[in-house]
Amino acid sequence: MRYLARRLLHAIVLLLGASLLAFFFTALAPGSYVDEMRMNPQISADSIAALKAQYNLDKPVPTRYAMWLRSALHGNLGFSFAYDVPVGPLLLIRARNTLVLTITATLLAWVIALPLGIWSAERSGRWPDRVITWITGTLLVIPDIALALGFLELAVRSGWFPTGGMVSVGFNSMGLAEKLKDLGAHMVLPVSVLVLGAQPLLIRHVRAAMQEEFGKGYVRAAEAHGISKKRILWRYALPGAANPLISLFGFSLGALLSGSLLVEIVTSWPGLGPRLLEAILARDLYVVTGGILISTVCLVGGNFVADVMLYWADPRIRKNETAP
Amino acid sequence: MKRRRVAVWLLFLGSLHLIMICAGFFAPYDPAEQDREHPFSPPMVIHFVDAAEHFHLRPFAYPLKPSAIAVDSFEADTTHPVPVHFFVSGARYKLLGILPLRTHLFGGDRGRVYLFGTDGYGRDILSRILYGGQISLFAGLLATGLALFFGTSIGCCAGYFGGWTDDILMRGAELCLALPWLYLMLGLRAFLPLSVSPVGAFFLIVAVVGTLGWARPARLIRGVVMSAKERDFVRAARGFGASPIYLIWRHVLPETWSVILTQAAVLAPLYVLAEVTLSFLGLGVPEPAPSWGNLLSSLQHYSVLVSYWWMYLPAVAMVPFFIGYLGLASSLQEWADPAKIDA
Amino acid sequence: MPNLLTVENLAKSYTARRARDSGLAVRALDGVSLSLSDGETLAVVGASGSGKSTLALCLACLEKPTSGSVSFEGRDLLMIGEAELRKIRPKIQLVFQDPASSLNPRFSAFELLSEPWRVGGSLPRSEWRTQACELMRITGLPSDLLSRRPMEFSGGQRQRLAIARGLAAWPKILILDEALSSLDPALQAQIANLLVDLRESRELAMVFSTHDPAMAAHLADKIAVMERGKIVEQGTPREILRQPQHEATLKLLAATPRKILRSRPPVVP
Repeated sequence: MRYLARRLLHAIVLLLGASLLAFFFTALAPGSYVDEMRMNPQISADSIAALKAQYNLDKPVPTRYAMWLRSALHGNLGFSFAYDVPVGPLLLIRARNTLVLTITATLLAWVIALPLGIWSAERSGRWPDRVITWITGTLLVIPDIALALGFLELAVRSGWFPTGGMVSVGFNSMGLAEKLKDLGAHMVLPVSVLVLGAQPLLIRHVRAAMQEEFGKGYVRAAEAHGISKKRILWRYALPGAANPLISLFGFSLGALLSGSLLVEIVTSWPGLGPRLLEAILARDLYVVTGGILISTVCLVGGNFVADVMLYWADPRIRKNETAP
Repeated sequence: MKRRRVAVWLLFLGSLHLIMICAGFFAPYDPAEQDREHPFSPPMVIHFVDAAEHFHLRPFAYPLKPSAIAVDSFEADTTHPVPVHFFVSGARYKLLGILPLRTHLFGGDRGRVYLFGTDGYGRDILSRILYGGQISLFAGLLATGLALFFGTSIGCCAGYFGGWTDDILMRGAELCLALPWLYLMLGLRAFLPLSVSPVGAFFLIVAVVGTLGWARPARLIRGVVMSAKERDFVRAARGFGASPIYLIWRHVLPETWSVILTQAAVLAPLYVLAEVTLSFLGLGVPEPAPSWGNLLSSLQHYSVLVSYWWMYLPAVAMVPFFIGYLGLASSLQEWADPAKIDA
Repeated sequence: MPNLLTVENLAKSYTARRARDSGLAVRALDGVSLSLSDGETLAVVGASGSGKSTLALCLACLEKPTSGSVSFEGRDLLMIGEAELRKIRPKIQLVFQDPASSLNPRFSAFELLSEPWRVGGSLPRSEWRTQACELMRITGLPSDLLSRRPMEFSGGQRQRLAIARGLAAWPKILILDEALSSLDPALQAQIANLLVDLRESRELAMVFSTHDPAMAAHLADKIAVMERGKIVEQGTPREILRQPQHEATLKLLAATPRKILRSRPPVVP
């Protein structure tokens, strides 16, 4: 338990540091939403000053950070200048949309990569391994942006799938089954891009981890004892490879909110990414900080979940705690 | 054997980069030159046999004239073939920025040859890809250099001096790595003036990407330095009174070269991609300067996506470079440490 | 004769990271005291793990002891500052047990030999080559090997190169940490003779550690027997060999064939 407490403390410190970084970057930026208003001759200097006071923009930066942190801990992430609504709910909806996409994509990616990686490691050097390595190598050299745009072209020309947005017009009036079908159809494009993009790295890591296990003494000994391949895989090799695989899964979890930015923008999926870009172009301070913060929470959280899973799965970590 | 593989990849990458450096020569036209009469014209095919089925030794292309059938599209004008000449004299450019020349690899006689088609302003896409590559690649490589410079210095300090220095620096690295890099990059870029000149934007991107990227190399270098400083030959040198700077410079740093080189090959494509992404989103190099990223940004418009497939070609142009860098990285890794499985 | 080197109550403990909480520590040195005079040779004999290497490292100031003092020419080396220490370092040179790891494989023999001069500035650059050739000659190495890398040398040649480098700094004390243990007997004899010659020609004081009492007897003026970080017996070779007191000494002597102790080791020309 001490190990977990340490990791939790570590995560919290990391989050605090990240929030500090994010806030200070934003606050020290030249120009703000309110400053842009100064260009507009119709808005008087007094109104601008009043706005500044209202948003506390006239106070020194450390004070602003302290105030922001206090309200953030209460769940209030500030106000969006552009939309005039609290940042929290604004981002939460978008975060939900992103998660719908990324959770599906991550699960699918792992469901595909895990067996392929294991199979590739088992048949190391022979043709299945070679084919898979060749395919992942090809995918690896295609940059995400090329992949996303390429798929978009394909989708547009074939007309099989809707190529933009999350749902069709008139979604709300559809029945449940129709709604699911519509959502699914819209998801095909972005999910395919995400899954394909993730395959090379995932498959290679799984393969490397499994190869390492297969080479270990206790697995070879089990083989020599005549234990079935299936049993060796499930009871010996996989648990042994749990350590690196769980860490990898932690990264996948961590990237749930931040890994799909480009794909969302290209396919016009109404997720966190497009909202962040928009806020950047509009200089909407708190939205940007809030966006960076919640994706960092996700990243740090993902790694922490991996730590918890590792603690539960790897007895060596538990033993090290109590050893002298 | 392994060294030869590295050499092969280096040669491959080197030639690709050479083409980019000599973009002025390989590009038939000036990238900013607009041809208002032929916006969005499709790529011209090179023929050897003409419509009358005569064979010509010299390749030629058919210029485009407005189509009689469909509005806003073009068809080949078979009545006026444009022969392709090599080593033609064309628009002025400066090779390597210093040598003023006018010779281009190829060009059309009495007409223009658009091998990759044109964009919305009638600018030749092939030329824009070549010049754009200069910017994207250069930005990526500079950023890599910056990140490796910071990463090596910080990693060295942390690894060599240990103790508090190490703790603080490594916590800092963890912090940098804890933030999602694309978001952080966007955020950082956002908090700097939005509209800058192309030159300013270029250096801004290099600075942003480079300064954020020190954390990963720093951790790796730190590991190497920590194990290197315990080596007996370092202790022996300490034994005759060498200062830490001497030890680091003459004994420890040489041990880090293989890591630095491999990291360079791994990071360069990532940073080129970072520039491309930023420019694509409109936060990087602005028009009219070409960059692979902003060449692709027009594809965000549905009409462009549907009708003009050749606007996608810049994305294809990136692939050989990525193949080269990844090949170099894996052959470097194998050469340096054959036992390690790539990560 | 005034003492060149005085060691008093030297202690060195290592704590493994995890053991920090429970207080488990390895005491490599546990209160070692000895002294060395000009031109004297001290042999430190003990089994593996007795602390010989740690002692050698502490004497050369390459490891910081947990407590105790090491005084050279009257000055406590642990008290003076880093800059002062660096000036004194060339006078106490350590030759490591494994020359393959103590000689940087990327350097040529010439670069390795000239490093002490490069660092300390004790010799003008123009004289480096002549001095390097001289060092090669003294240690019996052909001078055409100067441009070669250590990996191209044989084991014995490498060890001689390491010794040559130790001599380059013109030290007053040469510490050899089991420098002969990894060599075969013929080579051991060769290098032992070399050391004897050097001792006489340069008035070099030496401290060498070994687990071979016969070697110690052949080369040393004084022998100190170590066990588990402590010096359990000290004396001249005669005293130690004829009348061993401590059980550790007895164990060591028992492992060595009697015949060799009685006669002198063969001298290979």
